[in-house]
Amino acid sequence: MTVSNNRPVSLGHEKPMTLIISGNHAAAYAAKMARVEVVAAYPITPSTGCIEKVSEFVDSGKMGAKYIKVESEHSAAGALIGASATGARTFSSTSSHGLLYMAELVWWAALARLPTVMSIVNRELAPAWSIWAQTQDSMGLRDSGCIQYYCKNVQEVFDTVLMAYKVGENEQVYMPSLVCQDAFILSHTSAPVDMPSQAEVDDFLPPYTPKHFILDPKHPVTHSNLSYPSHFREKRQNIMESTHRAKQIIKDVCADYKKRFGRFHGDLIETYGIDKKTKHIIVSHSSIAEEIEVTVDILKEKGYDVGLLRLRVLRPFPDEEIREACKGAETIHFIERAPSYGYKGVIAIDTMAALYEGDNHPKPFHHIEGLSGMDVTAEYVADLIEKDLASLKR
Amino acid sequence: MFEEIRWHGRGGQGAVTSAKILAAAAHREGKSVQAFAFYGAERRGAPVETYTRISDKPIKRHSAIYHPTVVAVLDPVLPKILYMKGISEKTILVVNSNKEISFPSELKCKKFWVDATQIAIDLKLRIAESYITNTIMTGAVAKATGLVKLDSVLEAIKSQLNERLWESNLEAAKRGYIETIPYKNGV
Repeated sequence: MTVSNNRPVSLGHEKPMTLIISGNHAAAYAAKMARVEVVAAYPITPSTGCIEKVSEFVDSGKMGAKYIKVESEHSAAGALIGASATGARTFSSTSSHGLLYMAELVWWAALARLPTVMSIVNRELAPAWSIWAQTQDSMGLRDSGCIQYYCKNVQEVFDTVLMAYKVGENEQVYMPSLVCQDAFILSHTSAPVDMPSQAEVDDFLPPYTPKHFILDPKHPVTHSNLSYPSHFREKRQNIMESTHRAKQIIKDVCADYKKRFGRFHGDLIETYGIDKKTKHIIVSHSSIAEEIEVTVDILKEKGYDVGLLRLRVLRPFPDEEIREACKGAETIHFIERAPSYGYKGVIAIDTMAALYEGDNHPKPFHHIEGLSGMDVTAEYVADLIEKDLASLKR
Repeated sequence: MFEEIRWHGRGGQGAVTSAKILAAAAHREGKSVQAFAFYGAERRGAPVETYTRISDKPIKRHSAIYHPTVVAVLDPVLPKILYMKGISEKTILVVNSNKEISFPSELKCKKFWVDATQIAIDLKLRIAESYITNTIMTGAVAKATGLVKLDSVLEAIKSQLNERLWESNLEAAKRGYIETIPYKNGV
């Protein structure tokens, strides 16, 4: 099943192709083309479409992965940890309460340095019951060590799943990744997705060959035993350093991907309409950020000196890149889906801390928008920014 | 061009597939496309809205459609108030109906009708108690708007539906295209 010269089957992608598919299916196609070896998942709305598609691939023989049926998300993550520790490339998908139920083992996978990749469909938490978009489910796991990507469209979901394996499996990194997309707004939206040929993907993403450790009965080793404080610091220090190193690896992988396939969605951040002197910067994430590209066009038309900074990767946090992009900014406007109750938006907290370490301190405006998938239009955001700026003149 | 098409049907009638087929047809003609829906508690028979965006530039919007350029109504007995919202003089309205149904005089948009339910009955396009008019209405929208060619719709149906459904649905789209009639006074 996992011998490197005998890779799992991935049929149907002999040539590059474009399919009109949802974000869920985009993640499933990417997992198949990554020649994932083990999948374990438990369905939850709105991520079910992804693992349904994967199970269809496996059942029809188009995808040679082992699909482990489990009784909960907690078990799904456990199965991925075991499989990844044997050196298998692993995949799952979940959402909201499913992710929170597996939270204990998401941390475990990270602290055990296992580079699994999960497609996360960001959905509200209950109560009140909601199935719509909000990013607290994964953002609440930001301290776990997992690399977190937030995609703006369906094409980016496909590309990022492939890139996440390449980054996470780099021996300088060895960390799991969450590739996040907004509930329904991306998970159930169909758009054209360009896919390379299988041979091109194989060339980009060779088999996972872990050098740090492999669980193998022929060469028994012990892991996760009681570790005394004197050893612990070193382990955690390594994780800190690896996740920091991941920033450069992500940049390198995104640049390589662009060179091979002609697509680039930004690396740690993506900017739109920003130069070193831009006065007013909107900071946002996920699909709202792509809508806000239209806001920037609207406001520029009206004569505002405004640009967009999209946070594509939340961890590792792109502090230097944010300081560079905001060099000339007088105001910074956060439009984000995830509040940290008792303080501010999750992205605002980190971004302001990053700016504090620099020389320029733009005035912040905070907006939590789009909770429970509430519609956020380009015009609505333009109105918010105009009101922010008008308040300065009073 | 930036076209925003809003589809109205009932849960189980295939309005999600209509939105996708039109998107796939326009994509075949080199356009940027997006097909989506508003999802809630899924109930067969409840009114649903789905959406298609078609543009000659990359589509960046992910918000809902409030001012559609085209409105297509799959179910003949949906309350008009559900699908008249946001319609302007520039909107093209395509309704499944067996005659020119009347609208308030202030609704000045261009109107078309097609007896999609009768076509569905003829072609036995039925799931449970519902007649499925989605592919018929996709053909009707192609005719009424000229947004895509009929051939593109037919190819799109093949890309979106299981092969065993091709014969009846290709015929459905063709008949929808042919039998779509403009209102006599145009508006």
